[in-house]
Amino acid sequence: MRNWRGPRLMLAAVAAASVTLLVSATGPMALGQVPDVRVGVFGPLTGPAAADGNGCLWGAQLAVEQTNAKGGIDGRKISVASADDQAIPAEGITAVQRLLTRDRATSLISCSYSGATRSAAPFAQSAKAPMVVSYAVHPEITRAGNYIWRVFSVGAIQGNAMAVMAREDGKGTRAAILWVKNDYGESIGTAAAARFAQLGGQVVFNEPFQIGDKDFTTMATKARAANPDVIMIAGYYAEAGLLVPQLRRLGLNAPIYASDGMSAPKFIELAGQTAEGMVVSASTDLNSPLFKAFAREFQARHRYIPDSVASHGHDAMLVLIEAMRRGGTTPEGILKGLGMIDKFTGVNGTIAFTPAREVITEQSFWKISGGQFVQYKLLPYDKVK
Amino acid sequence: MTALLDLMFGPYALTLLILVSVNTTLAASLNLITGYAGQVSIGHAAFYAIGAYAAGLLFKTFGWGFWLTLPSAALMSFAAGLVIGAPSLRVEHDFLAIVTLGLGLVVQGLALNLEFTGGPYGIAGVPRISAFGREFGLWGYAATGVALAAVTLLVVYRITRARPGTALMAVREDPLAAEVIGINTSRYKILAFATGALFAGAAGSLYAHYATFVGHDSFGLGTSIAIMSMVVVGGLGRLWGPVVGAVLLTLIPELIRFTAAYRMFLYGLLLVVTMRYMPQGLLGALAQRKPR
Amino acid sequence: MSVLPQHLLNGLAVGSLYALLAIGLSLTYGVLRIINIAHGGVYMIGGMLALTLLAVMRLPPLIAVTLTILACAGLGVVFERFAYRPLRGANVIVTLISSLGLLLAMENLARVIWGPLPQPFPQFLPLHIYRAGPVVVTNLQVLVIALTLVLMAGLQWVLRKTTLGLATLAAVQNARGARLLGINIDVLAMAIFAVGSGLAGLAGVLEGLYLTSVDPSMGQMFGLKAFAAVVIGGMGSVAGTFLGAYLIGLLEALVAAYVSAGLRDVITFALLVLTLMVRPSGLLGRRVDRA
Repeated sequence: MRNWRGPRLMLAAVAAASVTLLVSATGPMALGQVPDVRVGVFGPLTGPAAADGNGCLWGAQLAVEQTNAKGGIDGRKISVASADDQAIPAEGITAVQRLLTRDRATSLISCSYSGATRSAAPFAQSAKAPMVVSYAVHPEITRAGNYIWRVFSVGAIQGNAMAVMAREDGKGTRAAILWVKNDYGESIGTAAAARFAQLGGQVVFNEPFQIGDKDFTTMATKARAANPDVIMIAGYYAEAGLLVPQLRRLGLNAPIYASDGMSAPKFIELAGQTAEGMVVSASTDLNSPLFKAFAREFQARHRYIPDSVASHGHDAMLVLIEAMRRGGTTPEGILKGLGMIDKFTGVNGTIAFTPAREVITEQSFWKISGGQFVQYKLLPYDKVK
Repeated sequence: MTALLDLMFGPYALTLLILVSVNTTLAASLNLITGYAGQVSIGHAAFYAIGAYAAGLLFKTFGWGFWLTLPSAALMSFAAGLVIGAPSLRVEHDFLAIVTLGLGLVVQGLALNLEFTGGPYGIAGVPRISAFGREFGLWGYAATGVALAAVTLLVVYRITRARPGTALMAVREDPLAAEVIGINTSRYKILAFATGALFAGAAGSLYAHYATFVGHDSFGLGTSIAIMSMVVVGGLGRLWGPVVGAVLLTLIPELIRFTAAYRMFLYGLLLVVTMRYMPQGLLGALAQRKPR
Repeated sequence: MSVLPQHLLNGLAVGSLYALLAIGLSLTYGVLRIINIAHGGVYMIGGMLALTLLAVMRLPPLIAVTLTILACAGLGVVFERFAYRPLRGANVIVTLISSLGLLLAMENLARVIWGPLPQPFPQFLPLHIYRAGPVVVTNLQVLVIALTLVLMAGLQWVLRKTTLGLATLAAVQNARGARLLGINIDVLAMAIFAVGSGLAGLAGVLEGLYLTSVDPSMGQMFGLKAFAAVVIGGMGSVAGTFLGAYLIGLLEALVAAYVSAGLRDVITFALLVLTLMVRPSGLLGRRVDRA
């Protein structure tokens, strides 16, 4: 075994890599002008979750564009640096460090899923960079420390809201709960089951499915045998878009209450006719003029109606900008500003924060009617907390 | 100049160094199993996962820190290696590849579905490494990672140079002949699996205390494939192969970020082209070119 | 009201899709000893391509499906010629990594071309639902199962009655011996890749029809499951592959029905491992020689 070339080649590889890193690390550094306020956004920009990462990023960018058009913050423009994490936990850490070091971002927005956001949060905390989480739901994320804030309701709130709707609006007594096996599905499903029982209903079917599942005929058969009079689904449109038609095809016709993972036009496209009449949780009030304006602008640029991920990316940025206005653009200032936010109006509704830095906002429900989402109900926060 | 140094050795570069050293440890430990002992495994992430979950659970149950979880997680992974290595006695080559692939998926699936692993939530709040009352920063992690990778390489080197190593390679080249000259092939196959598992488990423990949580999504088939790719691209059965592979395959995706959406497409193509023109890996190709 | 017949029917339908995909894997492994993980990618391309031909170019279904099958067959031949043939005789791992690279490249290119989101698949056959007591049968389930059975019978006929088929079987038994008999392995390899990949493309179309959507990620797990079917049944045995595919389809349905949908994949792959531990060459396989 002659390996003497090994170390030398490795040295060469490391040297080449360092040089390239150095060159790329020096990146865009503008000298001698008023520096921009830079916000770093990370999320899955490639890979299977790319649609969510990009949608959220675009929502955030739109907020920046609009703010800059009105003169920015005290004459300083805001700029966005983005980093791809492919929704992989280890990549989340790298992405955040890249944004803070190479791009010199002073605050962060997570446009990513729970895994990557969770691993990144402690590093944002220890670097003292305020981070606003757009749509990752894992309850642990904000426990990383006082620099981590979230504009999205945790799963339990949404689960409670769905149960309230299923019981009161759907008049259900026997519920079937189908949830996707991850932190999102489990947190919503568990809360929905507990609240439904607490409200005097009976949960007759409660089972998970897996991300990437396509054949739900077995699950549908089993759910049908339990004879429910109301169905709750906690999942994403990719799976639910197939699950719902397969439920209906097997003759399960009970009303369906669904989580906000289905509040995207893509869901109606996938489920087609079978989506008619479904009630979907969504944190946005469709009739709000602010949302309408946002949707118009977003659609003009990206040719699709913004989904929940996009509107929360937008709100995360709006909240950050508001914090800068109130507390200044330094990380400490932004943190102070975030603490001052109360009853701020974003495109998803009013935003305030609990002492644990979780959002306080009303829960909205849409109905699918004529192949479109229409505003249906608004539940106040007090009723679902 | 100081700004440049800061960027070069700054947090971003350090996180990459940490990733590279964890990947080197994983690849070098797999190299022992596949490169030296010839036991194809595409489920190496299972040992990584076992190490990480062991660390997380030991912290949760006994409040242990990294310096206690590291050896215990490595030993647990070693024990798992003894069990998971058992199929290598029954099946070989491509069938073993499929068996280890299956085992990898089973371990990940169990992590997602069992109660004590935290199910889809995983295990939260794993503390950072600290020594002498001080919590480690990125420098500390990078140093620990490089040290772990170095120890792994050293052990692989020692094993391959000593009698066990020659025995291993004999098992790889011709199991029957090895048996005839009195080598207990079963023992060495299993030992290779378990030793490889030991270091993958140690890497898992480091990762758990770095990411500060353990979740099933870090240990999927994609991870196993990435580790195997590093070994093969660097050069199977070559001491420095995993290092070259880990450095290249960790940094290349970073360096081609500008290709945006085409990034992972190019990565896949790179694997195909490397195998097409350098089936012995980079180091193998270099060794071949050199006249002997 | 017993739901068991319904579960079995659901399992048979999915098992049929596995069978269509598994045949190509079984033949390439039997003759060339290639673990063609990229096969799942060809199946995905089949679904996506048919989507474009049907929804964007608005071709008549029969023409669109034929074109898809031909294109996938062509893709298989290209892979064989440029990625696998140069590696013949190399370490198993080398071919495996190359195959994984192809799968990654295909998936990510598809994400660029078609976007990462699932797309509704044009339902060119109107859905009919029949009820027989508690059992619900759709015409799509009947189509998937019947078409698979007919194709499998046809394939068996080709393998037993034509020169190419007999050459294939001979090569599965003993590749070196087949070469001595004057069988051109290159031609055979191309034929096998063409047929296998064409069937994978068809499976992609059927999946789109039966499960109503296609997406760039659909190939990976499905391909692995099909491979598990091949291994459980016995590599290189068409009958075994067939058996393995239906076993996995039924097992999945029953596990999801009576244990938990969450544990379905764990149990499927645990069964794979156990089968190989007890019968290292699969249920109907023989010990393969290593030429």
